[in-house]
Amino acid sequence: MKKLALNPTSHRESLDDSAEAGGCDHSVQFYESDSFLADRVSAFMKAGIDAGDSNILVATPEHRAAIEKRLSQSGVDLAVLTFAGRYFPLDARETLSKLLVDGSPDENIFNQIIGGLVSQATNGKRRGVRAFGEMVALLWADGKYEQAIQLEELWNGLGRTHSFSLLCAYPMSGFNGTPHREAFNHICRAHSSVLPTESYTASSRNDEERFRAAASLEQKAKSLEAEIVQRKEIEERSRLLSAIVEFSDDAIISKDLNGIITSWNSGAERIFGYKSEEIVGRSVTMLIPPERLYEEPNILARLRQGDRIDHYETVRRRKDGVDVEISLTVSPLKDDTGKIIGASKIARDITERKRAQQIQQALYELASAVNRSVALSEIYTVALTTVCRCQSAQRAAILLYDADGVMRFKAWHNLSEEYRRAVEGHSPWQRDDPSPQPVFMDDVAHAPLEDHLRAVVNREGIQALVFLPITYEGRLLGKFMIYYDAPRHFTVEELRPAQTAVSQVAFAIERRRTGETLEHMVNERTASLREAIAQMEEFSYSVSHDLRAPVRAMQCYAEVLMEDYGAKLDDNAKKYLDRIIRGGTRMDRLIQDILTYSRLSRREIQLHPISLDKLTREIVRQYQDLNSTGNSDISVEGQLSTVVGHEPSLSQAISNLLNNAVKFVAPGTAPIVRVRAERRNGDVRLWIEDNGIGIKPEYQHRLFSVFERIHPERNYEGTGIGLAIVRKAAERMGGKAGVESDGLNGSKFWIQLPAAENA
Amino acid sequence: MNMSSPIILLAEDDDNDIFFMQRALRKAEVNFPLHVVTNGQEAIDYLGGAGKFADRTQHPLPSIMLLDLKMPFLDGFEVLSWINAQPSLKEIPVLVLTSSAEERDRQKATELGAKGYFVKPPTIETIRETMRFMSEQSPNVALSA
Repeated sequence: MKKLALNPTSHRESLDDSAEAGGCDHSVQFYESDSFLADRVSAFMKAGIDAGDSNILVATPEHRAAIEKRLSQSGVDLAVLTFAGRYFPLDARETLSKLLVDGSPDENIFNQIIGGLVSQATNGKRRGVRAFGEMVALLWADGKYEQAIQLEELWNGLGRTHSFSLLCAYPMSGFNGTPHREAFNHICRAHSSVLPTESYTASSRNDEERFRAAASLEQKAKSLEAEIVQRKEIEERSRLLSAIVEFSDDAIISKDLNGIITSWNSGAERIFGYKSEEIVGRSVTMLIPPERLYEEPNILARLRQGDRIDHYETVRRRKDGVDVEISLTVSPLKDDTGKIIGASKIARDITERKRAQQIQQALYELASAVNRSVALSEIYTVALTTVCRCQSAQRAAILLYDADGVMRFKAWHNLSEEYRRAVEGHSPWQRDDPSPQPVFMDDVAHAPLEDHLRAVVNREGIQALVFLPITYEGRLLGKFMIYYDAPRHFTVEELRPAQTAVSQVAFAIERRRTGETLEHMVNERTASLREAIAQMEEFSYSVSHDLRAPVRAMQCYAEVLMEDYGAKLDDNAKKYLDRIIRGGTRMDRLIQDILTYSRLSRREIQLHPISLDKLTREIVRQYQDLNSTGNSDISVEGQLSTVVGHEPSLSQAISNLLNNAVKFVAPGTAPIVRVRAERRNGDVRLWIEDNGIGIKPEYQHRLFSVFERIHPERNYEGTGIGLAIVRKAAERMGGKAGVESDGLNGSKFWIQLPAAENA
Repeated sequence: MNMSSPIILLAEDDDNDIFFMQRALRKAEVNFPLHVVTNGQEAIDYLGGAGKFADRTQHPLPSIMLLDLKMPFLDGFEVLSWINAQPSLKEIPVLVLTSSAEERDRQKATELGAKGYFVKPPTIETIRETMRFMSEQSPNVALSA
């Protein structure tokens, strides 16, 4: 094929070259206007006529008329040429219809018609031939691109056996759009030269101008390509965004500032039930329940100010009249100039989420009732309400095994007495079933029920029901019944809230039972303890009466002996009698102290405010009265405040401390005892300080135990119970007792009790 | 006016304690006859003149009664309760003489109408107190020393 020639002059030269070479010069002319086409074709033909060539014109009648008109104007007499056998005009459409077999150009017919004509036009190869054809353009315009290329190839094939110059023409408008790029290249390849449209082939242009035009064209093509890439990206993004909007689970709606819906995605259709065509163009208030209509003006007002509304939880009404809970996000929509022209609304269906929250709340309330250990009957009521709410059930009941192993109604919601009587005792499980499973009756009409049960269930209006076993650690305690007024397909999954509630109930029941057992046990033990205490009291009483009687007898008889027969006894006998008397005295005191100590330990004592000042001074006075011969110096310092205690116990404790203080002095020392009191936070501590022999710190811990003696009996008489009584008394009164001593400089005993409020 | 000699009634089951009482009376030089019953039932029978105590010349009503608390058959408290229900016996002062120093016994005896409460053994002081009660109750009875 020849090189593309932009210049018609060089094109003609090339045609001449090709003619000499005995081949076919096949050019294609693109055009925008018919008049340009007529100019080019008439010029092409005129050049041939001037050179003495023949012309074949396969054109539409309009193009032929325009071409012939131009030739006549340039002085060509077509009638003469026709007569001379140098001009062969053919109707393009008519000729094309002859060539087509099954829609495709047939090679044989082509060679026969066109080939024959070319042969005739050469007049035995004496003349050159120029042909113009636009059958391919007709095929192209009809969208038969493949057939157009086939026809071009047929022309080329003819060129291998005949020598002629061929000019084809296509209107440029036939190549708009990307899909034509490949076809355009194909057509260009099918021709030895390609002539651009009039925009680039104006005859006035010189080479310089044409190169500039080509460069400009190249630049245009580049920027066009870049723009195309950019546009593709935008298109892709836009397609993606539309897909996101379309396939979103959320409703994405746009509306104008009057609240008129302007777009509606499939999420909106799913949530609200309206199809796009039913609602676009209508007011958004269609979706708003009447009691919430006030919301829309507020929303619109905020939008006009450019505000955004985030996650506003509200209720909207579906097409079927059911209210749906949604979370609404509304943002203003702006045009290119930033003016607010409407709003986009994203509505998320939060009905499920709200419901899940409600279920959580209901279960939480139940758990909290269980944790608060409220009465079982109250827990049952909460559990029934909770389960009805969570499972959208109309009725529910709790049945538990009674002592005879019969399942009986413990609590119920919405069940008639007749129903309860009829079904009581019935259970789908054996009591010893190690893992009883829930039983579902999706539709009682099809459930295997005994006739009388079916009748009572029907009368109650129950159409579906669930038996949930109430178990605790593998033991079946009873059943939890859930009833529905309509058939229902149950799943284990949806009954999960009920299962949770049931396990709470089981836990509450079991804990209550454990509690009752424990209480029973405590009561029994308390009773036996009381009995033991009573026996102990009886024992103490016996001790105080019966044990002391023989001791007293021994003591008294020894005294009688001494009094009545002392004169007849020698000193040894008198000494022995004295030992018997002292032993008896000691034994008697020991018994009394033990009684006092045990009485302190077990007696219930009542605490009252006691004036420590009055009590202490009274005890000291009594002591001094009883020991008027003694040389002891006892002083009470200052005003002693008021404490809370049990007067007999406190009196006993102070007496004991006083006795000790006076008793434990070194031989030959006159006892000096100081009594004083001090405040210690909310307590009062009574100090009894002596100048006695003291107690070394290492022995002090033993001091307050029963029968503990630090100092030998030989030196200091005593039962070893006195201080144990002091400490026990203090403890029973909510106080304490102790001692401070270095073992050399006397002892400081103290007893500490809570201060009376106004002290 | 009943000028017969005043009688002391002692309800006591322990022989030793009876001996110590007799000795205390002797030491206090009180010579009134001491009648002894050895359990609560006998005490009631004596006061009520029942059974072997029917003869009031042998078993005259006492001017004062010393009552042990812990006795066989009926105890001292039961005797006190019975006496309370007998209007004719209200005049006789009852003094408790017991080995129990327990506060609750002292309280209970006082509530049941005992006029005094002594812890054994009886001493001369006990006897003097007893005589004081007796003279308050029957001023016309000369305390013969």
